[in-house]
Amino acid sequence: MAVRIPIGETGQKRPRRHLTQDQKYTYSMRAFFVFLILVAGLLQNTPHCFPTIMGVHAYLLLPLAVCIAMFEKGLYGVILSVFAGTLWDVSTAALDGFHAVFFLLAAGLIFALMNYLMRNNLVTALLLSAGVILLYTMVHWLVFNVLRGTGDVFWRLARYDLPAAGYSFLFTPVFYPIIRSVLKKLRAKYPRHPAPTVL
Amino acid sequence: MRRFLQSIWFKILAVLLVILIALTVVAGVIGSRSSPLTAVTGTVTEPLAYAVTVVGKGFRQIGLFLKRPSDYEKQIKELQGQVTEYQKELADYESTKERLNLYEDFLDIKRENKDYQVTAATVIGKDASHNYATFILNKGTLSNIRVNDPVICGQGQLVGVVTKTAPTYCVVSTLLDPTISVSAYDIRTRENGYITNTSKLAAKGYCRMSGLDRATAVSKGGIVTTAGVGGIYPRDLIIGTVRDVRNDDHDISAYAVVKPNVAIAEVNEVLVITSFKGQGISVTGGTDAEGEDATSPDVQESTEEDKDNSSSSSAASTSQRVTTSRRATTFSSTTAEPTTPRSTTAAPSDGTPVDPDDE
Repeated sequence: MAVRIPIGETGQKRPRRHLTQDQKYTYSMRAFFVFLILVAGLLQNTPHCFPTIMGVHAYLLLPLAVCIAMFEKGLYGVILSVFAGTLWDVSTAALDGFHAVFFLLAAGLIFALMNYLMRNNLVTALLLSAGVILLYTMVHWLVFNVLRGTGDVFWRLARYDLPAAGYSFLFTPVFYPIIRSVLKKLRAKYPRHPAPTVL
Repeated sequence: MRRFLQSIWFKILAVLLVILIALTVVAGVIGSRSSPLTAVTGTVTEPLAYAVTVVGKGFRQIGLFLKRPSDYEKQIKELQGQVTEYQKELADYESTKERLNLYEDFLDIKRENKDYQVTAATVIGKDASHNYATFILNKGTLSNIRVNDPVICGQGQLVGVVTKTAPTYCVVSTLLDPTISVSAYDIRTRENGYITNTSKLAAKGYCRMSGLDRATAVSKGGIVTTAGVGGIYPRDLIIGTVRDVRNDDHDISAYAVVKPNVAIAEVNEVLVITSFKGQGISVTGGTDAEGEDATSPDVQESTEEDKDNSSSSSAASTSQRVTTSRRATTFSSTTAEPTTPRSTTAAPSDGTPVDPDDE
């Protein structure tokens, strides 16, 4: 038989705390972002799961992380970006933590820009995505090819790295509308209204 | 700007950055070269990657069936009316046959090299940012796999080396990676060199045997195997076949273009040699399992200095390079290392080919 443990002097049970609509919206949004990051990471790093064009891979996590950082501003946006970077670090033989740090700095920069300079729309998404992808490509090329002296570095830049950047950029106008429409539907499902008072 | 720098948000960001950099440094220092954050994330997501790999293989099988060879077409014709059911059976058959071949090769390897301890593993992921066929295996430190364990495929064909480990997965850098360096020799001429690579050759699936003399006797068709120097790779693992010999543009040495006998980018099942006789023991004696070469971020059997010295002229070599037999070009050593016979602890004693220096 269940025993009811009274709480408080009057012996009444503590009222259940329900999530507010805003909280439901926020948690649903973050769960959706985590799901997207997992899917993009698996598609990107699993063999034969995503088409390559003449050996050129698409870095799906880059445009996705940019879009997520634009919508989920602040600390949680940064944490989600770091999660995306860590997921990429799992599959790389290169310096562990490189992608996590890069994604952290990129998300921080995007947050600052969105807060002080830019608005959240497709044009800014394309601009930010192009900038981040290009920056990643050049930093990665410099650190893991030029500084390591792997040889044929400019050939590699022209043959693989820049085409991969272009291929990755093509997914920005895919991710941004998807995220925007899903968030609109979530907002419609969990509209804003004041939190109910607890009797 | 000042307000931004003084805000709590910026401070949190800075703390997160410091923590991540600290984890990266920890990853570089500890043996597994995998930070705790990455190891935890990889361990959690590894089953998902494995599941998606299985799905990906299914897509690939569909493509193979569309280009079925004639004997499979005969079988399908014979089994009319049950096409879908027999396609499924053929898919299971291919998978089982592949695994059977792998275990047969494993048995052959164990018969020839009784000192090998081998673990079978499956490729579950690849690094999209590197085009050198770096891949992830579904076994890790829990299966006794460590950094610098060699990875082979089939009948002792060297594929690469483990460069990062976590409890349930590990990352393998292949022979196509320019940062990987393997001491090797040509079976016919007994000339020593080292396997490395460039982006152009890696794109074609080839690698490069550098450090040869201009008057080298290495020629097309020669078989290149590991020399077993440095204690990371056992001796006589097949690397590939010489396709061409060219003069280096930057110095007076020559190099051979070597085609690996296995299509490294298409490998699915591999064997990781977790232990062999002489592992961690270099030819010059002493263990180097804890030394700089075994744990350096760029896994090398010879150091960068070795590569520079041997490529600049045939006159330089390091203490790690074995001086070649009297049949081949001799590298003179700056440390005046004699042609020492290999230490008995490094030499396998179970009938494998003898040291060329002893011939």
